[in-house]
Amino acid sequence: MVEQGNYWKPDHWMRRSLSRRQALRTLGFAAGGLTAISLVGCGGDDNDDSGDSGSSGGATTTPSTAVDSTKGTVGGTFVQQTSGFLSSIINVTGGAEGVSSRTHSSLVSFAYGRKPPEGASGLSLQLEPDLARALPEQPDNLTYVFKLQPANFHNGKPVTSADVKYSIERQAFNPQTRNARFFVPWLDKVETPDAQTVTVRTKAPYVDVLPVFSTYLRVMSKEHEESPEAEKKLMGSGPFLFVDTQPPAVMRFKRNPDYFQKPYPYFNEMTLLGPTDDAKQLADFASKQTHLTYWRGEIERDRIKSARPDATLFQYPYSSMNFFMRADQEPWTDKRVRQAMSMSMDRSKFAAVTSKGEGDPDQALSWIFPDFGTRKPKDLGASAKLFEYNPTEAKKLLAAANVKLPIQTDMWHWNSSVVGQAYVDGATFVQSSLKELGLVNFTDRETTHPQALVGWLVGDYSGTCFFIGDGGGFVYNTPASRVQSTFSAPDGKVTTPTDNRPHAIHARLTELAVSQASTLDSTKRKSIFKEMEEIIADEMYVVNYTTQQRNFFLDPRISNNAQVPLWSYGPDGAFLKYWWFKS
Amino acid sequence: MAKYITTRLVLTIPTLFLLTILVFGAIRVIPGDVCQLILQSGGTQQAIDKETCRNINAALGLDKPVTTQYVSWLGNVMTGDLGKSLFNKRDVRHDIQMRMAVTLEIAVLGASFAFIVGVPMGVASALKQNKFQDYALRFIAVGWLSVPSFWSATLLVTLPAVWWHYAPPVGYTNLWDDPIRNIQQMYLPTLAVGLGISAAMARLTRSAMLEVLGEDYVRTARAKGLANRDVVYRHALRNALMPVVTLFGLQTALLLSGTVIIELIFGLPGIGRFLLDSVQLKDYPAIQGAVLFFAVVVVFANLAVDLSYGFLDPRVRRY
Repeated sequence: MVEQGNYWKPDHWMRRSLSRRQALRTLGFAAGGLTAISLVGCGGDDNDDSGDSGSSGGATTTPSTAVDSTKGTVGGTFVQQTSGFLSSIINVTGGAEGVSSRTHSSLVSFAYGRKPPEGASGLSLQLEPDLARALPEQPDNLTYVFKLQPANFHNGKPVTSADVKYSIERQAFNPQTRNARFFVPWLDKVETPDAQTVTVRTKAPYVDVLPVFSTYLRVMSKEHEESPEAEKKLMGSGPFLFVDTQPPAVMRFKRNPDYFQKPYPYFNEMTLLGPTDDAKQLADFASKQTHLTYWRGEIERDRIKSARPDATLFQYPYSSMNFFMRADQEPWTDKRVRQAMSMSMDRSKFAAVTSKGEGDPDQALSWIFPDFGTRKPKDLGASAKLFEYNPTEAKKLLAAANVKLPIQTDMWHWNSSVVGQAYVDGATFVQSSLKELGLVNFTDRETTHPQALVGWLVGDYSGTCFFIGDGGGFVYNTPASRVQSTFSAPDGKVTTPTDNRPHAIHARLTELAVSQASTLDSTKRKSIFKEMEEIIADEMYVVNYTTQQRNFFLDPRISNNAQVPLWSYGPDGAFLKYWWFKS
Repeated sequence: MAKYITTRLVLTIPTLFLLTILVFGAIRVIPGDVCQLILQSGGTQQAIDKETCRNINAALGLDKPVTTQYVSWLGNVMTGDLGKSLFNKRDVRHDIQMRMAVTLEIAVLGASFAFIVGVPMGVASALKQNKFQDYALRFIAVGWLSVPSFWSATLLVTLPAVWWHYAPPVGYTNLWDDPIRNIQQMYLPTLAVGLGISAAMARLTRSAMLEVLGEDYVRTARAKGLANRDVVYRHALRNALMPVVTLFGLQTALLLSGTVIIELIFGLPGIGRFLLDSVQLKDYPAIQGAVLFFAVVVVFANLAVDLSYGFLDPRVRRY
């Protein structure tokens, strides 16, 4: 088998498993797994049968003990708060790709969710077969051969390679489907030599092929998807059967007794609750009516801890908020001006304003998942000083750039309804700080999300904009396309709509951003990221502030649980089939 | 009376017609391009070529002149067809029907609460004018009036959860499927919606009653030797209710707009949330359908108020 997509290879990750204590110790160092970093500050689950003991918000000191995940107890109704609104869009390609992880299967999936073997972490990025019998054979860098295992859709009909081909093509080649963008950069064609074999060919080597197949490809029944029933129900071959929905508030599922992976799942029923007011979410969890919350900020986290001290806390660092400047518009064309903006920001005060003082300085390719080789700002060599608060030096840079102060410019950002008040407070803090120093007078341009979608969010804005970042895409499991689109200027120009919000045109950066997506060797890819982050830091196309926290709470009555990667919470939930209620 | 009813019914037609123009025109002022919203609704942006957008707009009928779109939409509305969502292609009428029960239940329960609590409060306050009971009731009414419904809703949700770890059952259960569970889920939203309106009704009922109680015909009723209860309820209250009922009609719009935030806070799947989500997505048919629903309810609520005048005051029936 060709060494491909090293980041998702079992052996790559199995050797890197860390205990939680080790995880804590390794925070901030470019070693260890995604697991390690994601477990920083994590409260241990107090699962009786795991041997763990820990309190919310504190570090667990004992490695997890493996639980036989095939010895669960069937029963109960699991209730989960979600992020995405449970819209009336219930067809898989139209917007239910997250919740459909309950009703549908994928070719492969990430091996997380249940208690890992002793000494290993539950957050491994190891991939395992799902509908496929094994991980794909790869006769060359461009070919993936999947052999399907026997499985039935919920209507009793068998899953065939034709269904897989239909599902891939429906997602990939229809520009109106939301997931098309994850396939477009690499997918060439899909072949079905026989009913149980699917061969996928790519146009070029691509690092994120398997994660895309795990997260963004649900295997659908062509017969169902093309019938009127597709508008009313989700029907796949997954662990749960769709029952009904009251959009956007509630969606219900029940156990699939004929699921092809025995003896899963264990929950008899499952209810997803759409987003509501923070107060309602707290009340539902405090009254023990919900078992898993969606992410909460620092203030809500402390309220929930106070109301439910027994609950398990899963805690993640998340990449920082960021301040983009149009590098193609005066005065931001001069990198000294952009560097001055970074040096004029007191990041500890920023953290005090936005996250109760928690969080550490971040950079554009966020260090929160150091497996990609990314570093903390202080480790960025010559550029490290640009992240230090030094208004005197900043003013010297501005003087050298011959900029007339204060700079008059716009700052575009969302209103608080989109990602919360802390984000708006962050934007306000940046404006007031720079104004107080006499450097910039901002005209505040607050927008709704629909306005942003066709404006500043896609690079169409004047002056500057304020964003809450995805750390170059590393908070997702498919960073290749995100890094590429955020930092490249194909043909030496940037045209909107674009992810390249600073309108950065830098030939070497573009070359690196493009090449990382097809560099299958993880060591080489890390070196690409290293060079990228040095260029980005020096050019200071974006000023990053401090990492944020994402906090999830789990009811202690849930057994065999393990913290899962950040992107999997919320509407996604393939891992839930491994969990059960303690008797 | 028949002529009165007919006149009122006929007058609703131009009102509704003007409403359709407002509803259709207003949402097109919202910034944002539907095609881009559809293509970019997943988070990270992808490059969008104009040809793709042109095809999407053509498929959705958005490439035609606005007047043509309006006439086509109005024609369909007349036949009960509110169109299909631009995003999920689902029938908007079906989506509204699915959610209608929730919103109407909140509105009806909230209005009933307001009437049942507000009118007796106002009457009691008027009958005990400038006494302790009057001051107490007025204090309560002003308090309720001062508190926005979203704030009272937040307190109603948070405080029992923090103090007693109590919250109403999650989700929404249809009244006819399980009345007890339904009431458990709906009483807090009812309180949140109804408190402010009941306070307004109490204030107005008090002032109307004080005015009516000083009228000659009330003195005459007392002189005839009628019991105080008959004077108050048969003679005074019936006449005092005219402005209260008018207020009730006007408050319908407030009641319905209140459901938008109340449904969000309590996690209820009603039309208010549907409207909110549709606005976020710029889903024209869905927004038009939801706003039209609210508008029709308000128009017919006020029609009912108009008709109730005839019942409350026989002189109205002559017009």
